[in-house]
Amino acid sequence: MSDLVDLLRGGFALEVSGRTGTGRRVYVFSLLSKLVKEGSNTVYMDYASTFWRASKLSRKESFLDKVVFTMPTAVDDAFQLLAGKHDFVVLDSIPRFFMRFGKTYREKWGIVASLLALGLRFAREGGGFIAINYASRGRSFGENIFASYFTHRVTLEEDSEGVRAKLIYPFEEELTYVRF
Amino acid sequence: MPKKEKVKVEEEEKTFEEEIDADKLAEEILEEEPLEPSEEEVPEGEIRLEDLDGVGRITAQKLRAAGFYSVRDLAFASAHELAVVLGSEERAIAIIRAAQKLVNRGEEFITARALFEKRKNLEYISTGVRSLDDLLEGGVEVGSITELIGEFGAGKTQICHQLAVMVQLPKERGGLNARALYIDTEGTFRPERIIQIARAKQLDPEKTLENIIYARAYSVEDVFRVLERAKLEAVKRDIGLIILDEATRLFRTEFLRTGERILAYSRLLSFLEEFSRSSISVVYTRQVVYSDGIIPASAVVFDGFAHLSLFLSKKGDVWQSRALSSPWSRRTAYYRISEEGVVDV
Repeated sequence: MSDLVDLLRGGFALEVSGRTGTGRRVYVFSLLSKLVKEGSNTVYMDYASTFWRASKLSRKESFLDKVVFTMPTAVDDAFQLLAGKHDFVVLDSIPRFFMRFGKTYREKWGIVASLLALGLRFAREGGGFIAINYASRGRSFGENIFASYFTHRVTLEEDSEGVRAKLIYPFEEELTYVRF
Repeated sequence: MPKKEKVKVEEEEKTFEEEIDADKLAEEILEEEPLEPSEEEVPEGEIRLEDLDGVGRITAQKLRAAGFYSVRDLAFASAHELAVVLGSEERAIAIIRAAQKLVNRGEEFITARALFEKRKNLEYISTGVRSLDDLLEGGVEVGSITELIGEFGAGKTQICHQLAVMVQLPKERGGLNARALYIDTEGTFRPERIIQIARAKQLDPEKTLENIIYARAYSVEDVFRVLERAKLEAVKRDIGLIILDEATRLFRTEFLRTGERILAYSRLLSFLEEFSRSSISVVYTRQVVYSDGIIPASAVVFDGFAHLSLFLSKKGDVWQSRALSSPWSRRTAYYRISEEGVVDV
């Protein structure tokens, strides 16, 4: 069983997927709390009201002070966030971004794929890109198209014992999962 | 905007107007019911659309006709949606940015801690059930979007009925002293039930019914027409809560092609978001489907959309709500449904 942070060396484009209620955002927050250091620059594209939820947490999460939340209303503004000015960029989430932009169904797919391609380029330049996605029955949303844009893919699965995190790409590995 | 440029924009608008068949346009306008709020209906202190750089009188009229009534509506509009009205995506982005500057006063980014400070004076609609209020840390927050997911008989509609009454209570009793707008897509709304709940809450049943604006939607287009109309009603009639019971069934039956369904859903979600941004609480219900276990209907579309997702179910004589997507994941509230409404166990 490994800690994901040890596997994320250098730049990375990570997908964290799971069903509603599996704690994907809690998992990403836990990851960010380990990754985000003093002086690093993290931006969170919040299309899923996570800003709202984070502010409801009665527990003090000091790392949140180092994260800026934003919700670009134009596609170009979202793309700009991956231009290399930040150390970490989080997209929350792929379905929300998909539903928000694009006039036609085909265009919606294209816009998300373009953003993920920029995420991959951002990773190649040393940045950390995390995208939250929906998954059900072992497949994440848009897997056929989007999976190739990630260097690492993690899925959260719920069973009778609770929620387990599993690395499914580049290799399969059970991960340590800490809730807070 | 410099005066010369503003004059140029207005001239361009005039040229555009001349290209339209004026008689046809006049006929169309006369046929339509007036949706646009008159000057005196714009709340005091609110910035008018015309006050924005790049928005002249004609553009403002076009924007209002398309459902953008306030600077706030523009600040959160999507560029492509606005481009359809304005004819150019560049112009749409410029107007959105101008509106955002006014709405946020230049604060594009704030930290979660700053937001935490801002949120200390928020108001809530009590559900009337202590355990549910505890689960929601006070009740349904003003301006939040809450979804109730569950099978038939899980109590979704019952909670909707109760909230439609609770919002009318004075603030000291957990309400907002406001009205509710109830959009019913399944024909399950029962005024008789409202009367029972109102009596249990010591409210005048007649007045309580008067304060619920009800609309039955038989088709997706009906839903959109009602929501469009609701934007104006919300201002005129002091609506504090909008209930959509149920959100997916019509879409799933009317749109068999995924692409068309997704586009229709996008439109629905942008409506609901708009209400939420105008400090109106939104509550909608969602059926479940059976596929490798119970899954909320249209899961990808709605995943992460609501601020709060509650999964409702029934075990024997006790009903329960589990917070699915919230800061307090995995917490559960237990309650009963009786003649007095939804009550603590």
